[in-house]
Amino acid sequence: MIKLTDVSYTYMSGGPFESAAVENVSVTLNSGEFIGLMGHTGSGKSTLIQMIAGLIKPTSGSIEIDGQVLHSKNCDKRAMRFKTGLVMQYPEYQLFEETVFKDISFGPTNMGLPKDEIKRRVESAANLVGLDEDILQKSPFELSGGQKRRVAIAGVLAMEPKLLILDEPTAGLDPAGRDEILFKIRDMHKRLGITVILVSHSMEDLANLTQKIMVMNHGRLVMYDKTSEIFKKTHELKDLGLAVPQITEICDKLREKGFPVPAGIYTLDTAKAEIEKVLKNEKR
Amino acid sequence: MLKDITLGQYFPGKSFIHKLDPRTKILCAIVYIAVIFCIKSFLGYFVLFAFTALIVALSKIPVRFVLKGLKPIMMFVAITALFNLLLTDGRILWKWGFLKITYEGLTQAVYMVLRLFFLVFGTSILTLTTSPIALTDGIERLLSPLKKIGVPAHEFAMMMTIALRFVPTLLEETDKIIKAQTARGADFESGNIINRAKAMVPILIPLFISAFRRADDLATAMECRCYRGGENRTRLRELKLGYRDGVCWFVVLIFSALILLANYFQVSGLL
Repeated sequence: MIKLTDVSYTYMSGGPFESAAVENVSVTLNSGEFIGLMGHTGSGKSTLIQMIAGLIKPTSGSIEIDGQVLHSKNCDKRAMRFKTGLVMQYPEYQLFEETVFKDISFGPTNMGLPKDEIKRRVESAANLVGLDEDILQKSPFELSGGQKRRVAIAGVLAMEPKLLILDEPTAGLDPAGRDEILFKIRDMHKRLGITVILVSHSMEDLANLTQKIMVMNHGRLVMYDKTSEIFKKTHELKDLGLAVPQITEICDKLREKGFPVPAGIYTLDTAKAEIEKVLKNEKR
Repeated sequence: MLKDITLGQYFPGKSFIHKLDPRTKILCAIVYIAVIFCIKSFLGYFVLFAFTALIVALSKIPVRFVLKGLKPIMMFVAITALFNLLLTDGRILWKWGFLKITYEGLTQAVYMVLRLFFLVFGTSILTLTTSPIALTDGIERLLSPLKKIGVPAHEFAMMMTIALRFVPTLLEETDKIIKAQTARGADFESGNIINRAKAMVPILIPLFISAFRRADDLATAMECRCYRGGENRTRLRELKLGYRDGVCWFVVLIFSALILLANYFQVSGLL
């Protein structure tokens, strides 16, 4: 369980460029859930997840993960760090080793795992993001952009974190690649029962993957609810400069025209079922 | 952490000092530095302190902000002071084993500390009140007479502008890389010197790679906009000397004269 109490973060506090990135966020996230995080650029999403990952210390407020308060005296920083895996935006800049294998094993090696366990983890992480075995011995700098991204993500997955945080992991990838990575992550979430926080600007991805969604605006958490509830609030989301999935928009338009389609539809399958129901009733 | 570095950071404002021509400020800073090294008495430092206080007050920059510039050099200052204190020969004041403090060492150490402090003060006031662009414009104009003997003044200035422009970018990048590697369990804080140096590798390699990539991109972007050096280049803001610069030079020269005069009026009790 992740519990945030009145968490705020101010950049350059006291200086002439002081600005609050996150203000008074209080929320409790349950373990094992797939949580989405959205908000327009500069709404404080990245700052918030960096605080949850323990990389930056909140200016005020406290963060508790599984009963341990981050940055408190009796909190084992390194142990907490290995529990949380953070894939930052455009993570390919973190690559530095001679071979892909060595780079992916950087995290597990830091954890002090035995050699054969490291090997197992590197191979399974590489497999998870769809990297071929023969790439493992190549230099990460010879790879294409998409492959570099996969290596960077694998580097975090190989640590097998209990809490996985992904900051726009698929930005700039081709459509096939992004779907593959996202669905592999969903598989992993189901199989291992880990908690996942996914930051994304793609409403479709959030609709397809998440169980709950947090919405941020100007550093504040303005909504936190089940995905189906969030996508019922088309107007509120649009006021925040966000959108709903296209399929939700279509259903909303249909409802405006007088078809009895329920609100909060966000997957293709439910939309199909509901529209078929309406059509059947029309025929009668 | 990295963002706390004040040295070389611009503090926007509209004060008298901010509005001075950058050429005036650069030359005055050079005079200021020269004067620091000519001072031979505490009275001189007192006058210099009064002058520095006047400038800080005029620039309307919070004193706290100027003082923050001293933080990164504190270690250096402390070591310099210690060496001067312990390694200067002369009249012995205190002795313990091979360690001794001499009268000369004590004065030398105090002088060194004062000099370093004032050096940082002088230069940080220059960079705090002058935007990097104005600064390089000023340097380019100051160096332009040297073009005649083949000094590429414009290229120097352009290189400096680019270097300065990328300082915050690279700092931000470093911050990001440190965070990403920390999240992967990199440990920069424990272990001996060799381990710590090794821990820098995962930061330095990505940093170099991104710096080269950025340089490449920038070169392409400049070529795309037909940049071809300083020949016949006009500028948006022409530098003009105004009455302020006259006032500034007048005050600086008077203070310099006072400080140098102070060398001849040594207060006997204080040396």
